[in-house]
Amino acid sequence: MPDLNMAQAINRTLSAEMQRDESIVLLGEDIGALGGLFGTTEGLLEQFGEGRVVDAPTGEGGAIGTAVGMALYGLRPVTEMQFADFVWPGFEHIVSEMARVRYRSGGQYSCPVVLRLPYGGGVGGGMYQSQSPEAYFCHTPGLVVAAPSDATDAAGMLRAALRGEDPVVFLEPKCLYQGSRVRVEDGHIVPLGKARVRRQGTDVSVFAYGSTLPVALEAADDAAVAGIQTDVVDLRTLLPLDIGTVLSSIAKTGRAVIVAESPTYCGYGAELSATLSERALLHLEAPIERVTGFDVPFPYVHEDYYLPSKRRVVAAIERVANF
Amino acid sequence: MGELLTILADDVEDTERNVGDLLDADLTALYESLVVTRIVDERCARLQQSGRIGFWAPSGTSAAVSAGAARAFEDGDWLYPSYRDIGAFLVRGGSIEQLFTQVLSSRDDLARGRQLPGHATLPAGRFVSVSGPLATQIQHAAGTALAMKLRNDAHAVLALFGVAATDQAAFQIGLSTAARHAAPVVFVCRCPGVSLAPIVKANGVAPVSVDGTDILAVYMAARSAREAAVAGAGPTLIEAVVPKGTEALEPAARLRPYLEHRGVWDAGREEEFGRRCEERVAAAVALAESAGPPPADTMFDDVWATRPWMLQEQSRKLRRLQDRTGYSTPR
Repeated sequence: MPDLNMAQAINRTLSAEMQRDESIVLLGEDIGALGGLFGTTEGLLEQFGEGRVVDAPTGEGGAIGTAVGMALYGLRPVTEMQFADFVWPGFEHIVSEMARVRYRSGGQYSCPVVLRLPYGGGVGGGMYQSQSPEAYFCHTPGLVVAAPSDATDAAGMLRAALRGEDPVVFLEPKCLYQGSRVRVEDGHIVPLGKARVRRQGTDVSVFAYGSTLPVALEAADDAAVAGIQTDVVDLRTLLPLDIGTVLSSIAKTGRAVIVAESPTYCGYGAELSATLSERALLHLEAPIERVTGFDVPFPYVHEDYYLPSKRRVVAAIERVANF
Repeated sequence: MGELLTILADDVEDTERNVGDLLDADLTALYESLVVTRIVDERCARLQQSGRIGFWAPSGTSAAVSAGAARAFEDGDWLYPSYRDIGAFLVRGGSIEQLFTQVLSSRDDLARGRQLPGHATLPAGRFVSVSGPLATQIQHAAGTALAMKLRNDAHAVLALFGVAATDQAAFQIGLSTAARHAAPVVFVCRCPGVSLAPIVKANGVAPVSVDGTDILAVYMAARSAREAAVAGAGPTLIEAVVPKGTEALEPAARLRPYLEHRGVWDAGREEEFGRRCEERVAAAVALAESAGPPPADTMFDDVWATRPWMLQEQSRKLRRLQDRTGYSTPR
């Protein structure tokens, strides 16, 4: 198995799972001959034909609503948005339909759609090609929300999503698509709902996911130079959260920094912070810090100020360590 | 209503010429479905007036659209209903008893009392659980039909909705998706007048306008549209016109003179069938009311395939509260 970047790992996983499971069908704009905007579906049309790779049924809302009908019928549709920012026309189908089909039918029907959303900034995309919409989806019972942070996890978590029974909002950090190549074992699977401690430390817990995980790891290196040992937890799945791993980490450190790209207010960090306050109060030695995007629309020219940078994360680690 | 497909004429001899190959059994079944729908409607209206249910969307004079269209579809076909499609629910094999478990949110309701009265689910009849938002089911129907096409499944999909759904984006997106793939789906819209043909055509779908209080017209139009869909000729939209208010004719009353003329129905059968339905409905209501609601803990089921830790914890909390206070009603 060759070393793969994240886009290649996703492509290879889709291909392998489509071979394994006839019911998987891909939907999305330009996913056919073009191979997807980021190349994640390259070659799949040639490999599986138009019966399995359906190019753009009528816009984003159409691709998502169509996927719901296909999933009810018994297929496993994988809908790709070109950018997570384009998902809103299909929001009603996700929140009111996909997420509730099982519930409102008393478990008689299910809707195992995998919604692949290239998300986040760092590519100069401006406010309509850079958003991190996870909070909107994490507020919806019935959805699984996941965000891998490297090629290995992207393959393993996508495989789990494609074999799962629930609808999955799969957030792919597009700034990492073409990142470093790593060895990805065929058939590798990462169960959804399991976080991963990426670096062990006893002073400060840093909780990150998707695009902010590499930033957290770099900041951890810098903090170590300053003598602060961080426990870096890659949450991987946001809904449902791996509460056990989160609480073990905070029990060890008593100090928390949460790193996310989306705006602060009511963002994922708010839920995590509330959870820590409710369940780990007696462990806490310092206020919980959130390093996130600001409460502004995603900016264009000021993108680098907006995104949680290594410098901002290091500063937060130092503040909570020295509180 | 000259441009509407109509089977039931003022003169029964004209009707006779129009009915073609319809069998006695088809005719009486269609008629009976109208009577049952009316009796259920009346009972549910009373349940609502007396505060025993909180919501009811009556079929009223549009009953023929739901039952007539559904009857034109075969086992193995899929139906995407609206919340005004009790007729279709019964035609697809749903029983009166089952219907009232849903209407009264009894513990026997398949969907565990999670939906407003009339938002039924009938997996055995491939009658997909009714969704509240307008028009979303139009897109889902197109999706299911596209899936059938991709899988060489020689069945069809029926989507039912009211005219308000046609103002939603999902209406046009559903139509154009189905048209683009020549997916086997028939859209049936209850309309107060003729208005949809231009927009339907613009989305690549064939429009047909029928008299929506004439159940034979609805049935025959739906049957032709289904045949065309299965044959690969693409989707049709049937605009079933049901005039508002007093202009509308009660669909059972419209059909009955022809059935009597044909000798398959009479006052005796009317009386007997009506009485049996009333009795069955009364018994179904009594049964559903005596069964009581599903246990509160079922609220936490079917959100995800399995309960994640949050729901396990919330379920425990609710149960502890119930144990401590012994309360059976939460307020």
